[in-house]
Amino acid sequence: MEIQINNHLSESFESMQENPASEWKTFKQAYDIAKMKNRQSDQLSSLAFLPDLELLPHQREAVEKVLYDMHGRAILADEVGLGKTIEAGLILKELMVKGLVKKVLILTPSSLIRQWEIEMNQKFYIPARAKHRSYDWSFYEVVVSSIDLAKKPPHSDEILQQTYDMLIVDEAHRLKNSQTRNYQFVSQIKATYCLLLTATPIQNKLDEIYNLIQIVRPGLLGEKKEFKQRLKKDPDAQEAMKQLIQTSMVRKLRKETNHDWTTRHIETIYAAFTPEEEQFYQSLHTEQTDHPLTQLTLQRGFCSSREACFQTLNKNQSEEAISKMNELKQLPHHSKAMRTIEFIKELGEKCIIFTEYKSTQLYLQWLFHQQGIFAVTYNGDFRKSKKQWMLQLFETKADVLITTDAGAEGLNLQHCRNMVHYDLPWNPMKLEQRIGRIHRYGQEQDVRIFYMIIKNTVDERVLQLLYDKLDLFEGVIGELDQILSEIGIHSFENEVKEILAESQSDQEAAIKINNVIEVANSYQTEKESYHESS
Amino acid sequence: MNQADLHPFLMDFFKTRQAEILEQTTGKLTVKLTERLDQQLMNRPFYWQYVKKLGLGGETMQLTFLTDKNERDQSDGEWVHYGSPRLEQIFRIIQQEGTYTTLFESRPAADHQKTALQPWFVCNLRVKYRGYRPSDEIVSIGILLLNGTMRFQFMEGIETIEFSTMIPDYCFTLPTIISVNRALNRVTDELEKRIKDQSKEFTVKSYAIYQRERDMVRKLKDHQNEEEADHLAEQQIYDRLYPQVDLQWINSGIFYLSEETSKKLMKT
Repeated sequence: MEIQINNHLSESFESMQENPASEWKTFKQAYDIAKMKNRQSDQLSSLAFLPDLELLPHQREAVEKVLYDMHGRAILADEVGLGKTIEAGLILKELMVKGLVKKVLILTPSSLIRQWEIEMNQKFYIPARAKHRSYDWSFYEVVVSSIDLAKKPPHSDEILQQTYDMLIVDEAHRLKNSQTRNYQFVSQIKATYCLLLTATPIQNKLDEIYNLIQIVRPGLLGEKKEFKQRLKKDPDAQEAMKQLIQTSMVRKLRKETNHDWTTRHIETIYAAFTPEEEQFYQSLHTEQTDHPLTQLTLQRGFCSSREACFQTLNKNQSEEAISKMNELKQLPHHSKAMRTIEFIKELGEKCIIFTEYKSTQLYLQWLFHQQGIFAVTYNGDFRKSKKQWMLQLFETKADVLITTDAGAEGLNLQHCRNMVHYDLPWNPMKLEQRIGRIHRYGQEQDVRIFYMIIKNTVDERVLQLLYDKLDLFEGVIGELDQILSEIGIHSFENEVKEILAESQSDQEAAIKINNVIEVANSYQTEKESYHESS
Repeated sequence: MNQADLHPFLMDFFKTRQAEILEQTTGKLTVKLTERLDQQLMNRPFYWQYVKKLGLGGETMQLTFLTDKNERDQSDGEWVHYGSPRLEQIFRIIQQEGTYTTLFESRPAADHQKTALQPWFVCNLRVKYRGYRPSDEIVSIGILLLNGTMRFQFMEGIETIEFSTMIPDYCFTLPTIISVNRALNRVTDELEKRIKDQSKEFTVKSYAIYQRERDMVRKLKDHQNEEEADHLAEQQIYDRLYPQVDLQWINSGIFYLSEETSKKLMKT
């Protein structure tokens, strides 16, 4: 076994001799610069180039792990707000400083293109550029693009012809399904080094991670069918698989870092329905539908706004639905919306409002405008430039940002410290994602989280059944996704929905949800004690 | 290079290249660029093209560099630190200009004795290791073109000696016996031998990891028929992990040294 030596010195020697004879001082300096840039292999040489970069211990650890143990191909799966982008930037910088990486492709959701471009340039002096339509892909050294643009022909063909030294995919859980075009496209890109960034490596099923690993380290988990079968049959195999996955994945939870995080204050704000609203809400109970789930969906919608409920009814063109829709039109302003306005005025600070419904979003914006509050909206349907404009407005002028979950993925909004959950998501992971927008690395103030709840409705039931039980303050739900998937619950949200719809009484629902949480908790404790003993 | 060294470094860089120093205080330096420096540093080719077309002289730009933390907060100017794009740009200019040379050892002018100068060929190289842990090594090798004697760490040996681009009075150069191309071959042969000897452990470790990763992919391939994708995987594994070194130029040149200096170098 001998090392392979790539020696092309004599080929370039001739053109080198054509240079004019250099002064001794310059010649010596050129040599000294080369020496200066060369440090020991076990140190991060790029840090010397970045005196202004503040690196947290867990970030440094992650960077070193990826570079030295994982040899530059890994999944970065830290919980939201711990600075995955910083880690990725530093890994990239290090490989560039070492001369191992020149040509780079960064794929992100379109809303994050600008953010990546700015961060790479300002924090790392990496000359990243957003893809512009006037230039070909081959023109760029470090290019940032949305995956949606990149996967479309003719772009996709051009990208697949390039050989990249490094590929970075942000919000990589978009690749979890191997049947999608996203996945197939990304897995064909030629790249020596590769980083996949996601806060939720597993959203529903454990085998989602198989697909991510398959990009980073193909073959690590064996063949897919076998992998699935082993997981089903053998509980010990799960532990073994996890060990294996950890050789290619870095995952830190907020509670595991030593960083001094600012505190989270959580408060519930109550509103009450007017008698007319109450009557309408109750009438939804008696609504004749094929499925109890529909009732629940309607009620949930009505707890948000008339418009949200209207949209759901509108899908169902039955006579009864139409008469309900007419009833809806007669109702006055929504009590929760009015309460929210009142609350925002009392608060007197910048605030982010999350809602599950786009129709509610529009309604709220209109209502705020009537009240003289400057609110901007944000959602996944907006074009890139509009998104950026909205964020800019929120940072500089607007008082309120009303957003949906789909839009807010990956955003850094730590300049704001207040967040209102106008609708509570039924999956606590989603809530954690939301809070991560403001409670993240860089937030200097305590953050304040508010739940908007209408009394005696499904809102309050979910709050009591779910949120009062989960220890959100500690951030333990970071691992909830994985635990639930391991005990065979594929979608927490659907699970909750079914329990609520099918239970005859609140007590029954409470017991059922308790059971789920209980199982998850005991599983977690068991695992922890296992880790301590081993 | 420490932050404090940057100010004198920049001063020297601009002075050497005839830029006018307009202001210089601790940690703050304002210079008026020469036309050449403007073209090298300011990235405005269209301006210069336009000016040339109109037959005008063109106005060069002024730059202010801040290298002291206090100045950074108070004054307008570019904050320069190790790793900042401006400094990298300056480094690149130096490395470009210092690619190749022919230099003669300076002799005291009073010394009227005739002195023979011996030709050395100097190769400064970067040895880039790829494998389980990538790293670089900088080597400087000099070879005497009279008899093939080699010396490693050559630059360190001549660091303190003065050289000039003109042959000093009363000196003459000895003709080379070995051609530069042959000398280069000898140097790289020797270097390759040393690399192979030094990197045995590195090679074994890297190869083991390379093999492990490659076998994983091949095993998978037995199950499926995704030829294309697996070929991709093997290539990236090879590029990252297969034990290999790339030899790259930093710079090179012919150095004419007095017999006395040559002898000293060969001894140490």
